Amino acid sequence: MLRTVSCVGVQAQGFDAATTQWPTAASGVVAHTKGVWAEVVASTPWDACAVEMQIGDSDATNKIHLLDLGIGPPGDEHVLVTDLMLQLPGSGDDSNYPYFFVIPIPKGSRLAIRTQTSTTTSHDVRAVVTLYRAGRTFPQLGTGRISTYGASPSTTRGTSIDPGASANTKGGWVQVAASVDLIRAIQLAFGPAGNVARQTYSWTVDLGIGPSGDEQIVLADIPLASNSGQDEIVTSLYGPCEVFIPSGSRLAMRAACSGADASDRLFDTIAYGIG
Amino acid sequence: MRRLLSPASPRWTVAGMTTVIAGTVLTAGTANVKGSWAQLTSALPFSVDAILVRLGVGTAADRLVDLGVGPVGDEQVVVPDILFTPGTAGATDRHWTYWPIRLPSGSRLAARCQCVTGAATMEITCELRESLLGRHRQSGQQIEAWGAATADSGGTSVDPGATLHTKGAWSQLTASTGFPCRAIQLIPGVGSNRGRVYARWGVDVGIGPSGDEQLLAENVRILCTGSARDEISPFSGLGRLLPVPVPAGVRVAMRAQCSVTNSADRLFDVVGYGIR
Repeated sequence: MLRTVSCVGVQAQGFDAATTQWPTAASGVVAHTKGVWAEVVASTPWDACAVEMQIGDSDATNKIHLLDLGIGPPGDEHVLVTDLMLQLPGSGDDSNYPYFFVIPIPKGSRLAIRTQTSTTTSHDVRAVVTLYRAGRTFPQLGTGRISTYGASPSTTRGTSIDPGASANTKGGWVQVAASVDLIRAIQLAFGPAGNVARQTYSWTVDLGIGPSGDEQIVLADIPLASNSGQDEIVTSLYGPCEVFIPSGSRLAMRAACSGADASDRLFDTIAYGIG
Repeated sequence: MRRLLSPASPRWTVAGMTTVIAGTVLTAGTANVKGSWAQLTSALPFSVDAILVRLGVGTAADRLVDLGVGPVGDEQVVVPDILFTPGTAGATDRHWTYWPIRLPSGSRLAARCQCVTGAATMEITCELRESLLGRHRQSGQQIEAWGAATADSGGTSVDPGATLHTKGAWSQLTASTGFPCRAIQLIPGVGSNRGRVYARWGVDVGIGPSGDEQLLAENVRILCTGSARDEISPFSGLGRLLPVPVPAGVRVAMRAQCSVTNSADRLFDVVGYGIR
């Protein structure tokens, strides 16, 4: 039986009604180094069972962000999820990467964000953190622990995937992680790898697990596309979707591309597993 | 069908993909009239708990898309009037929406569309998903659309009003929900307005009679990144499937505040969906 709703079930945190804006965090002036934490909300209003994070940056500089969501008091933030990728092709497009994670966040929690970029100039990243109230109909998946695979913080990149030189033919498997924790749901981020002069291409992408040479497909034919006008990879985020990947599994990815240009056929990926 | 490694893994497959990359082509009828059904799969390979619908490769014109099941000539709509308003870069952009709808194994799956431009084409693919964990909690049996405007293949217009950064009046999506909903879905669109300026909105969703709306969702962001894309984003991914139960027979409405006051660019369309 459905209960009558009498209260807000979904709420963006840190909203500034005076400017119709949401919180930002500034990257440091040292490339590939996380900046300081910026508070999103001092105290969450109720127990949450899931969180959506839309991250974006309206600056026209071609760059990549890797963003962390943290929980805890000032000076003692603990990372809930690390290295959420935002790749900007330099069009000034305040792109949306709407990450979604089914994780419990207790009432009264302080949430904060921090970011790093691939440049030596400080850039703001905006994070719209939307909480979903506990007791809703999302199935609770495991412990809510989120692990990031394939990120390269030292270069502010993901793992580069090369479909190979034969158009419309799946290329070789590329390792994303040598060994993962138990994964019950997965979200995949895709980006243009800093390439800001792309052709209009399409891809289909497979995610697999298993040792090199014996990969078994977990997710097949995920479609991606690029457009020469925006130089982005769409869909920038895939999932989350329910999977079962045993602890200790090797994670790999391969792709087919409609074109064969040595630069334009490449894309980056980072995987986020929920245990 | 791709069989996953572990027997505990849910099954997953793609319907409607015609080549390595392309989807099934849908052709609209005359302006604002649904075209013919196009088959995505002749028989679902397993009982489906959710469908991820990907729409793309269409000209920059507003569309409404139906998903249906049933034999040829007797298709029954299961997901009505999915709003699809590709922007200026509509040639390759792919929008996806997530529908927790339960469909039986063996069903034939098809789709059709209408467009403000007669005979316009687009492509569709569908990911069919089994959900072992969510089967008894998340998947629904029925979906109804609120606020679809079939006369112009769009949605209900929401106007934040002429005062900057101030919530405007509520816009009704439906006067009365048809059944109890376990979740709702919202898809924003451009309302045939392309050539837009950058704008952001903070959106509320409420239920209840006019003047006494109770908030379900508060300050949810949607964004238009400007004339380079002319799209209202994010498109309805899982983040726009709001797991808020809504009783039968209630009025659903939406209001917003905006970062611009331009009388055209502050407006956006929306279609809401109740999921039983």
